[in-house]
Amino acid sequence: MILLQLILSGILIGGVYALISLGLTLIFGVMRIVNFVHGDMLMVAMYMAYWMFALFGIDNYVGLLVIVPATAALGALIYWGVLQFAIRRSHEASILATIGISIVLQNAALIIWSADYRSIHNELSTLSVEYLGIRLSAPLLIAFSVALVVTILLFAFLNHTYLGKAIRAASMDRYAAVLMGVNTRKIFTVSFAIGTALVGIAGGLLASVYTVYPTVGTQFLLVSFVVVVLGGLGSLRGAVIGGLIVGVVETASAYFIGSSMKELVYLLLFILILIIKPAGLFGQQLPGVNR
Amino acid sequence: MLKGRRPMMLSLILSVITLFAGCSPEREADEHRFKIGVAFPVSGNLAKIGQACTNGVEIAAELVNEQGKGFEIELIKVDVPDAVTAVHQVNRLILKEDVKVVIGTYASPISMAASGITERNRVVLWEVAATDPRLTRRGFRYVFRPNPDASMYGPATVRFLSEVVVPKLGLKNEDLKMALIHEDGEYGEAVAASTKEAAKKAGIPIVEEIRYNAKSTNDLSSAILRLKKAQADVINMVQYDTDAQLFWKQAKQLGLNAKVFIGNGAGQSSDNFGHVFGKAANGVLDTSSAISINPEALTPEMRETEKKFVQRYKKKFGKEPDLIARLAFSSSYILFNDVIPKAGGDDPDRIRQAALSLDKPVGSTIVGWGVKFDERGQNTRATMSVMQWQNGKLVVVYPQNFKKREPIMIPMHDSSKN
Amino acid sequence: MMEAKREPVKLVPITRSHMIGCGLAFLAVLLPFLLQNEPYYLDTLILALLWASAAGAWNLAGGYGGLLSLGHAAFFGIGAYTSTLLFVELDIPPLMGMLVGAFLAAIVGLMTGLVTLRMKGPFFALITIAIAEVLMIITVNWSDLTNGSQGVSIPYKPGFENIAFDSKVPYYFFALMICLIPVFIAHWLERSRYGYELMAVRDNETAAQALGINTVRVKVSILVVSSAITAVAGAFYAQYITIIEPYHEFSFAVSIQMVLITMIGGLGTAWGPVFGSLIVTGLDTFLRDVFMGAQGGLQALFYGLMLVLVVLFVPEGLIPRLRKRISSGKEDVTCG
Repeated sequence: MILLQLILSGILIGGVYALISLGLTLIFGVMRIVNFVHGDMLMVAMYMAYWMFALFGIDNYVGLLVIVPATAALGALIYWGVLQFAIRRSHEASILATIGISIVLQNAALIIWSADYRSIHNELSTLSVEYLGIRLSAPLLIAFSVALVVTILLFAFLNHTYLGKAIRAASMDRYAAVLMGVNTRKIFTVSFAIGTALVGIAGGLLASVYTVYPTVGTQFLLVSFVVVVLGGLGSLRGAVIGGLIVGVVETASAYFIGSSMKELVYLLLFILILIIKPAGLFGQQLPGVNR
Repeated sequence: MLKGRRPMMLSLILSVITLFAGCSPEREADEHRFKIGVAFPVSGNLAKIGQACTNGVEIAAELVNEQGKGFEIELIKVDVPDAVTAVHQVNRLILKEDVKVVIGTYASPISMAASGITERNRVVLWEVAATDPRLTRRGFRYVFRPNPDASMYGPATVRFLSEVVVPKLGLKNEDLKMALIHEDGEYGEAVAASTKEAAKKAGIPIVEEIRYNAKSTNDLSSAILRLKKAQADVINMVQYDTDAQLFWKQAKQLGLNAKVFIGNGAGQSSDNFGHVFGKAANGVLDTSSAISINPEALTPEMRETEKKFVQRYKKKFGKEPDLIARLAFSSSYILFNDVIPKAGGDDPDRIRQAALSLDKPVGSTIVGWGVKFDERGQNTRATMSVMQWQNGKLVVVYPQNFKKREPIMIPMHDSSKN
Repeated sequence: MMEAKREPVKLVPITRSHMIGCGLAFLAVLLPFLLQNEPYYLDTLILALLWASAAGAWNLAGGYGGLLSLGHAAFFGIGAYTSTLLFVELDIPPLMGMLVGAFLAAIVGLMTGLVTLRMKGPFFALITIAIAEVLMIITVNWSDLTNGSQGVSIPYKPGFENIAFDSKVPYYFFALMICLIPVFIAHWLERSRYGYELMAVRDNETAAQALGINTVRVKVSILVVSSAITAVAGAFYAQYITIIEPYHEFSFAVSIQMVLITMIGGLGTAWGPVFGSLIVTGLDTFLRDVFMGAQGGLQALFYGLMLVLVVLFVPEGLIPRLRKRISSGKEDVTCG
């Protein structure tokens, strides 16, 4: 019984990780950017959700209607304004540029919104669903379901729309895509925007689960890297399954070994994957990157 | 070759100039104007707490300056988010600004680093919130800490349990099973250690101990499942703000029950806890310095001071002072109001003498402490109390003379009915 | 990305630049005494040199070797903890403990190098981050050995072998010595066959392999050297700051600091980390002065902005940029 509860709780938190990692893996798959700003975009989305709730009484679920386009726009701006130039220089430059932007965002948030902790507290946030002695957190269940829906929609988008296929083309072979008439500049901007919007959804949903403060993004950053590498950089399926695996592993090791050491378990897993199979579970072998 | 060297020289000159550009004119010394350094982390993870501490100290200085004691306190504030910056900034306060007294620092590594510098320079460090026991055990002459250290939390909790909870539940100490859940940083470890020791002495069995990392924990469900399994009567929590909230949310969701939930300052003392949970916070206890004690237990002077403090704080910062701000205020008020006048200035040796000579009864500060420093600089009358969330507010319920209300909800009802 | 045409040095008579170099060296030795009345500036300099040492060490692997490690704090922390624990538990003077720390870090560097041979760019960076994080968690949880999250306090026992002094001046010279080590090594790299091989591997590994260079030996060895020196910087840090704790010593922030400093000064140049550190530390101190007591976070905001701007506009660093500016068009870039 405890085992079942553990696995289910692990799957729930895994769903959260998956939702956050979808955007990260898309961005990496298309542009090969290791995006350190990802966690901070989550933070920005959470703040948006909070302020809409605190100032206008808008529920964070409803607030998604605003958060998603807003984070997408912010993502596009960051790409267009800074990252497109950094990519041209080198991988290293793009990593460092995202780190710099991350520091800027965190401290801007500190200055603008102060270090106070903000929380949304609506009836849903302490609610749980109970069935046969197993209890599952309601807001996490919602986040999980949304993660599933979003993944399906994303899949459909990437496989059945022109824009989606162009994105996939650009991620597989940038130069060939250009030859096929794909405007890679535009594609990259759109992909970054979509990737950011995805984490924006996560932020909106999680605003009622976690407390919001300027550095809240750092809580999730390393885990999402682990998920993305485990699942395979660029693979959406990988992000979902990777997220679930990490969630369950984390929860189980926290129970059996100790919460303090749970990070150690998935970090060692991370290192192992990077050594043995850097392409991850579903990732492509990328020439010049992990082949 | 020549062309190669010139830019290098230019760069060197440029960088040396930048290095020394951090130059602000020195303020003139003044017989009756004392520059006191204020060093708290106001950026980074501890920003909220550091800011609250700075606020408390500011009000203390204001109130004392207005009393017209014949001198004026001037605060020189620096940001010390970590140990390296602390060394640098405290050096700055001492060497450039010529301060003889530094108030700070809240976090353990910062206080350890800062005290290393102050002691070597014969400068006073007036610690207002750090609980690391080592701070006052290094044989330093110029470190003073009015607030309790971590080793005092355990005994206070256990006293409360033995004197109040055990009789109410009709049990004996040996039957009261306690579980601990604490963050694995220096605060959590130190308080948990003192709690375990005190529990052992009182014969209270510890049935489970969970350690977790506050910064990287997104999910405490495993911890809660283990606590459920342990079926403890008392759950003792040492948590910061965000993890305290996560824990309480998930505890409710997963149906964690215990007869008593008791925290230790930080997370459960925070105003956020009440804001976020409202009624759901009711019944949670908290061992810490008192937020506001029964006015009967305060000296008449302090009753006035407390009123003025709260009023002024609300006016200046737009919100009620939280516990940490009150602590910072109380500690610095002792320095400004009692020690400096007695010392006749800010000479460190005279400050030391004056501080050691203080002998004020319990109730002489707004958080209830008395003042009596031991040779090592630790205030031995830093009385702890136990508070409880009632009707969305934190009220003191122990000890007898401090309490404003009776403790309620012992035992807490089964939350599986939600 | 990085021009790397370097001419072998020929014997030359003493020129003006030699005299300038000597003048600077003289100044460097005289400086602490000139600053004796302004010990705060000396403190700033010492911190600048401390970070210059760590950044310089990173630069050997990152700048000259092309191994962009974002987890060098692992070695920094190993140095700090080894030297401190040996001192506190076994009374071994830090001067000795430093070397033990360097040795241990070198072993970890060796293992890291061997394990990451086939990893490129982002993957290498990610694994280094993970390694530093793993060491952090182990240090926090192995509290019997390391005192866990409460950290270890370094007792003040003045003495040369303890790297503890009453005055700041000896600290300055110590820091100066340590920071010159990577500079000399870098100089040597620019003139030796090993160095050429290293930079060849950095610029195009496949081509280097085709030329018969043993890329494994070259990459692993520079990582070993880099990690050892980083550990030495970490040990000195422990002695100067007198408190170490895992959340800082193994932190991502420390790793990034080394990278940022090198990027600003000049990736893959001998003096880049030194100038970069002088500028960053100077700017940091200056900004904290200006924003003193004001809103927290402003200084860090500028720090982040600086990183972004450098990456965008001056990615090779200030020294090469200034060099290019002044030596009009000619590409004979000699020693830095």
